[in-house]
Amino acid sequence: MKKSRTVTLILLTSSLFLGCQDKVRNEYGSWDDCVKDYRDPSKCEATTTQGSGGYFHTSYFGPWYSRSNASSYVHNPSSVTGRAIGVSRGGFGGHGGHGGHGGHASS
Amino acid sequence: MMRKAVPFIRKDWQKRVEEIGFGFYEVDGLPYWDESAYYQFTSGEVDRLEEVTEELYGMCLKLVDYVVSHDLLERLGIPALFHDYVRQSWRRQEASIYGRFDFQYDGKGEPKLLEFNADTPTALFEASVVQYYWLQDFDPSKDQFNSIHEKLLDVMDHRLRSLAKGGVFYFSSVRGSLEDYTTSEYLRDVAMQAGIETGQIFIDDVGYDHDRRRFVDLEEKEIPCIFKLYPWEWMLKEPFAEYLLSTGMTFFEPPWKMILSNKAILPLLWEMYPHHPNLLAAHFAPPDTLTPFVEKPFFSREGEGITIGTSFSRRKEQVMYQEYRELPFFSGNYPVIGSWIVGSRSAGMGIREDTTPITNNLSRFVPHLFDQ
Repeated sequence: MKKSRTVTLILLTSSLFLGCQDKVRNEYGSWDDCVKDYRDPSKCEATTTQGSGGYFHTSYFGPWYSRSNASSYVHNPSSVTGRAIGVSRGGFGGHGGHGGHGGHASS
Repeated sequence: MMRKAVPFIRKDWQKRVEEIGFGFYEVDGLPYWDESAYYQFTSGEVDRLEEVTEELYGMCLKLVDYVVSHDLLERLGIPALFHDYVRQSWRRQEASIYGRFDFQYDGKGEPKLLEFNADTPTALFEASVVQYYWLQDFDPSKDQFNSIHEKLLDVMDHRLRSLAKGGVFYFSSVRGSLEDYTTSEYLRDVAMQAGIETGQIFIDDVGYDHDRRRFVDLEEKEIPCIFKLYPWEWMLKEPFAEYLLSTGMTFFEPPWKMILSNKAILPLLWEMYPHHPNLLAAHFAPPDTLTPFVEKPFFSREGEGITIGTSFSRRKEQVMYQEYRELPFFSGNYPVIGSWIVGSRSAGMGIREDTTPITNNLSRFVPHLFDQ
């Protein structure tokens, strides 16, 4: 026999999977508040949306993290956890695609 | 080898595949997972694919040794700054998890190697898990060339657990690709089953701590080991590349896989093993012949930059030329066999088919079975 006797999954069949539904991020009232919390502007993102009245509203977000302890490590990475100084991010992933199947890095 | 239309499709197949974590069964409204048909093999055909896969992997390892010992890394377009990094990785015999050989095969002649996806192969989850569960529903009395899951567990248990040294083993992919995320999380799932403590991090979230000179996670804990579904040739051009040389982080796939993920290995293999029955003629220079060849960039993914032709007038940098061998043709479809090597053992196959002779990122995955 050349097929696996059994195939068991523990992570992919859990509620954590399919769609990163468990991922959340903190929203701030201003860009400065976000940068102050993460001490790193590259962690913050400003998103502008147009409301029904035609007014523009800008939201400020920190990075995504996992809400659940069950995913073992990605807790809220904001400054309440005591961040060190001198960490830069985004140095890998510059070629990475966004937007589904066509934007991947595999072959 | 034959392609068969199925008498029935599982009525609730979308629900069935979603239950096992498979969310990209359609792409842009088109089917990616296609169980309206399957490929049927004989046990002799499967045995041959299994043998050839292990033989080619052995040849590839000898080629890596040849490239390293004869200082051919420049010829493969690997930047000089990283030559020693690659050489050291090979000399330390750093462990590899997997790779996928793509074959032209019609069940009659010999399987012919089209390329080796040695660094960031995908369609792993589909081959290992999704088609396994399809067969359990369709006809569990049949066999399938697919012990990928068991062999991954074995590699994680016997080779990777000790490398993690009790620390957290991270699994990483690009943000925004469910396909890559699923592949990476599937491997993480297997690692967890092997008793390894794991974490997930998107590749652009990897940090570099300038004080400690270490790569770190989002909590600034050191990352000792990482599986990255992100090509080495991209990493070497990015801002953190310079830190690779001093951090000591263990990567999967290891740096020496940069050699094998490069299509320049095809002419090098042809030079080392001329007229090998499982290789197609391949050259660095445009061939002076009337027979069709395929021009392939050293670094390309999912059929990108591939041209079929008989005349290549201008010599280009970092491309190679491989004899064109038409794929078998079944009911308007061209299938390519993806044969998996896990550790150093042949582990199973997945089949992707397309209506054109160049397989690309929208080609459909079709399951297979064989009679014992």
